[in-house]
Amino acid sequence: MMLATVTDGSAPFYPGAVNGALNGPTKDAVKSFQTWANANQGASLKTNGLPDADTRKALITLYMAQDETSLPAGTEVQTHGCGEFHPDQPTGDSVSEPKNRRVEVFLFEGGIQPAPAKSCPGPKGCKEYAVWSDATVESVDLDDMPGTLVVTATDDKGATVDGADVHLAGTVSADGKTDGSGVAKIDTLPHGEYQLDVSKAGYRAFSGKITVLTGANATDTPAPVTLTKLFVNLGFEPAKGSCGDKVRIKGTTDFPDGTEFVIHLKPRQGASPNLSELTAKANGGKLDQEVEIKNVSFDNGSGGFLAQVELEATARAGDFTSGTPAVLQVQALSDAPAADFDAHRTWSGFTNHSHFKQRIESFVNKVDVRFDIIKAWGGYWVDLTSFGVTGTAGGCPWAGRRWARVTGANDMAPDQYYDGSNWVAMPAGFSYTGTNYGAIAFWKHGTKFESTDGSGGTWPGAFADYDFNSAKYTTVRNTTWVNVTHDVWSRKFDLRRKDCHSEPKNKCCRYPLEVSLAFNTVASLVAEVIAVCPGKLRSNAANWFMDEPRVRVAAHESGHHMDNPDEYAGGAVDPALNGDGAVNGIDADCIMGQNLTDVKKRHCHAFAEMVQKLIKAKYGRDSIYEAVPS
Amino acid sequence: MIESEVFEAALSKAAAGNDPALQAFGIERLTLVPQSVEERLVIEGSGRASMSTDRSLADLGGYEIGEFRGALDKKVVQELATLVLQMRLAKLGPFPASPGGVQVRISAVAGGASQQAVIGTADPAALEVVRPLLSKLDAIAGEVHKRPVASLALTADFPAEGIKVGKVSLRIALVFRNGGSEGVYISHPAAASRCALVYGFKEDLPPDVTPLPMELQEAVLKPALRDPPPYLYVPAGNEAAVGFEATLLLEKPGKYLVRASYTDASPGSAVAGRRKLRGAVFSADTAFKAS
Repeated sequence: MMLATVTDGSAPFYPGAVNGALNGPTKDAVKSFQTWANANQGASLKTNGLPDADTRKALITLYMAQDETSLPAGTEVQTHGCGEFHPDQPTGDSVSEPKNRRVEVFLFEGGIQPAPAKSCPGPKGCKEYAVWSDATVESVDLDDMPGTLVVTATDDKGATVDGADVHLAGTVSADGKTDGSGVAKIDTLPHGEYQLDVSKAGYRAFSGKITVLTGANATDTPAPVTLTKLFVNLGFEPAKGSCGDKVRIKGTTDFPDGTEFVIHLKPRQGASPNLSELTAKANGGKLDQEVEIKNVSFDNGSGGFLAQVELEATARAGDFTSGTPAVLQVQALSDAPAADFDAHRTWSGFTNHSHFKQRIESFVNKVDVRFDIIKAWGGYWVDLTSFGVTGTAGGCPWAGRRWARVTGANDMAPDQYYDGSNWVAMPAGFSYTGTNYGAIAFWKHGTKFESTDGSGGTWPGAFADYDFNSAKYTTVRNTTWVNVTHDVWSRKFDLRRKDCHSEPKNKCCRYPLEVSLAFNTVASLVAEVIAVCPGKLRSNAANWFMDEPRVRVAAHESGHHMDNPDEYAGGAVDPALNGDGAVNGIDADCIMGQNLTDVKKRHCHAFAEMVQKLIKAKYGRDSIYEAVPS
Repeated sequence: MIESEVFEAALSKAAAGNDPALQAFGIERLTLVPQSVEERLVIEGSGRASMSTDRSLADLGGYEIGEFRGALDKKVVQELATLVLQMRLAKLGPFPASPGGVQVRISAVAGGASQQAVIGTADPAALEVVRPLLSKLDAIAGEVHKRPVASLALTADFPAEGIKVGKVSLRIALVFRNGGSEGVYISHPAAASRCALVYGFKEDLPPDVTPLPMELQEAVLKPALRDPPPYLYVPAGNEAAVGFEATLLLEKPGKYLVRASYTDASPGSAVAGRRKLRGAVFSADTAFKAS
């Protein structure tokens, strides 16, 4: 065995199977060793092929220098002779039995327990021997040469399988992994039957019993193992959809039940960085998982959008990856031509004509609101009944009231009224209350100035003219009012397909809202025209004043065009509105309320209706949409 | 008996002069302009009337804000009860209102029941039905406003003579007058840009031509007092003046109008338990000529 272990630097001196016989090959090996030791080790051995004492000493010295052939330094060694009273094979006296001429070596952890007696106590043997034997966890018969198990893994088509895990359990346990040839060798195995398990992800595992051959004449124990390759075939049902749709990913597999697969989605076009992986479990040879299409990005990388994105789905379990991917076509519902919203409402007895245009352009929900406006001038009516004024005069159509105007620096307080003949100072003691004066607009009809409220009022004399299209006033209308209205309404809410859970950053099933306001100046008074005047009198629904600091009036009135009632007492209120801050139709803190602040979700209901209509018209998809915060 | 019946029955008694019914009667007129004006007039069946206001609805020059109190004859209160009964508050309206515009809320209580009406002011014709009550309340408010408890009004002492065209710096005094019987504190006018001065050229037009709203410019007001204290005390029935230097740019000769304002929206209605007034007051227009 030592000659089969010690080498001349390249090969052992004894290349064959160890058999313990001093025969020709063994003598050749001894002679080779003697010759080599004399030349390389400074020895002076006889080169006769006989293992004499000097030769054995030299051989043992070299053998003991090998790893794992010697006990660690400091190991306590005790010898104890008592074999005569512990025969392996009970015989009578003077009977020659080789098995009784044996040496047993006990290796202890942490010292010899119990320690042997100083000398063998006699015929009954030593009692410690039984304790040592009972505590033995592994026995190695040094006469029985250990064996080597050679596992060769191939798949069901005969191809070698590398990287398979090999686990052996029996007298000893050992692990290995097959190499590029599909082979895993496990050596130094004591004789015995072992449980052999070979497994690799994507293959059906092998499990079986095998007896490892040992002994001086034993060859390596072959263990050919076939690992049957597992499969997953995937498909989508239906294979086409759009974001927010639910589809099923189905498959067949011979993976065992309960195997969890990660379904990986990869776009064939674009990036879709927010696609998430799915999971599905094998059950009865099948996979069947409902999937919501979401987080698909149609961004083509150059500022445009793809009409559709194909998603490839593959299933993974450990190192296994399914073969041909399933493909899902995801359609981009990105554009739809404009359509009109047109509805006539009555809220709290007041009528409202809701009308705007809406289109979808590159996933943006674009709303166009347009007001017809007319150049106008602002005046006042004052109630002078408390001052004895009765009847009508000067073109003012209401009894006891008269037209009034401002000639000073305060637009808010008229300082003259028309008494039917002349402009005269307001009566001393007139107090400006909420109900005894108010602003009113006039437009120039021929040579007359007529009130725009439909009351039939006419203004005495004339208003000083002004340039309606001057830079100052054009800026107010087309920049300030337009921008404020846009900013109040836009990008606060998206219209999202209901039950679609794509993240906001994905252009998928969400349409940010963009509201554009535009004005069309008309020359004659027609229905629904807004009178636009200079000055900073208090604006109302019909009269807007270009110097007024409240620049959100246009945004509020645009809200009416976009089908929203007032949300302040006294306005055109829908008392059925509740929630999200509204109580019986009243919510001061919103753009439709008294404080003209923010847009609320409910204010987007008409846009949601329109998105549904537009998508249905263009793509034939009838889905519900809802406003969600941007 | 339903609430409206209780209300009307109690009102009827009050209108007829029944003292217990009158004692239980009350009416409030609240005039609101969001983030601007809040004026409250309260009339009790006993005849006690009180009013508070923080800004003139019309930004009227010289208008007093503050607390006011008056006493009404029993007959006036009876008339009010009669008008409320006739108006049937709960069934009034709707009155067109404007977003952010003037809103008048009238509420009345009688016999333990109350009614309220919100009156929008956008359509003068719609007010006709409630005009008798509104006119009565206007008249009462006018009378109560003449009796300040603690008030604040602003006048501007502006040098109207010898002003030349061009960039001119003028010393002006803003005079804060308290017409009431109790002294008040106000946030100091010389601090935190609470005062402003606007001015504009006044076109000379024929009387029958209504002028356009004046193009107003804002003058820089530099307080004469450096590091003013946080508050200014305005004694009862007296006034306190604060000096400023104003820089005006007068581009052409002619007639100009100028007006000043003081605005304080800081919170709190008392300083160490002493009354503090807040709100906005304006001076009347002052005319001057630039040559």
